[in-house]
Amino acid sequence: MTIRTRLILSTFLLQVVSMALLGWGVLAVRRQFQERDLQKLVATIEMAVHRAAVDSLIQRDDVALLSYMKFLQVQYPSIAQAKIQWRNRGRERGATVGDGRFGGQSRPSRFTVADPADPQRTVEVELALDMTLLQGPFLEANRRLAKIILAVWGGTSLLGLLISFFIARGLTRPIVELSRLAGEIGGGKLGGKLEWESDDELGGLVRAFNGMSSRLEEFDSIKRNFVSSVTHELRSPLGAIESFLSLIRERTAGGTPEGYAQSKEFLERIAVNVRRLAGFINDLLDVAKIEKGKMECVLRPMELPGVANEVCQFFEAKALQHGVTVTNRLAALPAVLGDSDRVRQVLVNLVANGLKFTAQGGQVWIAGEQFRDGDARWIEVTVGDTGRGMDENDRRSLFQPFTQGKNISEGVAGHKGTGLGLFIVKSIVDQHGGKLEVKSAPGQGTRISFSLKVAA
Amino acid sequence: MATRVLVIDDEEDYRIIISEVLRDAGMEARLARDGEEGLRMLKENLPDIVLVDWMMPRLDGESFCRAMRADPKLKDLPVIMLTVKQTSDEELEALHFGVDDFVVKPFQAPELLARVRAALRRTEKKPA
Repeated sequence: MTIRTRLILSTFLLQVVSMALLGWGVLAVRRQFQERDLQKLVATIEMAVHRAAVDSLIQRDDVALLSYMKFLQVQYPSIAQAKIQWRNRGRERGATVGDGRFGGQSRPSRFTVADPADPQRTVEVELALDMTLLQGPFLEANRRLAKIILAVWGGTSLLGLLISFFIARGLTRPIVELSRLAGEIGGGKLGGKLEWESDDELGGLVRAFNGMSSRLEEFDSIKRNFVSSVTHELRSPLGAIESFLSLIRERTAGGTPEGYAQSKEFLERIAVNVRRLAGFINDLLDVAKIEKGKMECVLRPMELPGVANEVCQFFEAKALQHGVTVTNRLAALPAVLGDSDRVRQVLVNLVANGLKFTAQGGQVWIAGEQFRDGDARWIEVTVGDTGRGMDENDRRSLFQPFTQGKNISEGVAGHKGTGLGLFIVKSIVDQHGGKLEVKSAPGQGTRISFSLKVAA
Repeated sequence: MATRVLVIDDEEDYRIIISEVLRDAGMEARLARDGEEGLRMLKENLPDIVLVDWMMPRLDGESFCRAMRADPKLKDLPVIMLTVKQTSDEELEALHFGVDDFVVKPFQAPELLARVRAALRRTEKKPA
């Protein structure tokens, strides 16, 4: 049974039962009042007969009692029979009014009255009241009331069924929808969201569900980016290596000097691709460490300008090839606390990015500046370029693993990148307790800064 | 006359590899770095067949094909797409924008040559 049916049935049942009880109660109270009214009616009749009997004794008018009894019987047809016995010093005389036929139950009552002036004179009246006839009007009224109660009960039950149906539908609609969406997500169709606003628990559930759905979608897109990025980054250099190797095999088979010269060139290209593969695998391992929370930096006093110089030298050849200058603008600075290998990795990543997006004739530089934050002294290292910059959207997804800006593939030809570099950079800077800041706008170049604490 | 092939790929390694393979097979290869350069070279000198990479900066393989097919002089030129993707959905999609065949990177030289020759044969059979 669905929750909706259960809700409808339970509210409906509750209503039917409560309305039935209410109706039964009304009838019961009414019966009680009727019982009293009936007693009163009987008492009224008896009183009237009693008084008439006394009057007739006082006035010594027996006929008056008889005719009054007849009149009374017309007024109250429920007086089935009245037997009157006059007694006066042994002499007895009787009369009977009514045929004594009962429609149903009878209620006999007998009483004797004596003349207050002459106690020897008495009248005994034996009344037989037809209770069924007496109750008739009451029962009729009761039946009418029962009919009304039944009609109201039926009407409210139907209305209640309708109301409980709508309430149940309103309550269960989001649950039904959520379970459908959850089924879809389970089946692999991600991103389903439910439009539902309310301040209650259901609203909270829907909001939580939607949030979960978005997160799942995000994870899925990261996973897909990861797979396609890994596929490309592994396949592309591996394929190139394979092809170069078979070219070398062919070129060297002839044993000609040209063949060997060309093969040497191909070997260089193989070396570049192997480095690219190794670099990518190192990045992947770093990401795995970061995800496990095992990326550890050993902070020791280190000299920034020296590391920056090494990085600039490392990129000298590549920069020359692109027609871009890479300069180290770090002047003498106090030693900072850092893991020099990791700081070098950060600088290599940032400079490589700068080079990637800076066209011929541009500049990439490393600069540094001291600042104070309370008692602590910091150095902010900035890697800047005169490249094409990026927009708000690209800036936001910058540090997400495996994502790259939408225009990133328009970088310098042949450098698609993996989208891992800046994610690793951010983690390293975090490990150093520093802050990473990006300033960039389309066409305005990019400046990425990170801060390192000055060694005490 | 040697078969003239226009190779469009943003990765220098693949440009070199493909041109070497084609030259070894006696074909003449001309190289372009992206779709835009490829279109320019197409207009200067009509080749017999085009090999184009899918993922490229500036003008990618898909846009290149659409632009090429829109030109009445170039619409019957055979095109082979180079791709690292391998899903059939994407291949189907690519057939819609006028690709004749696919070569998945990394490829073996004989496979590349076989596909180039097959594509050329198919176009020769078409009525001029």
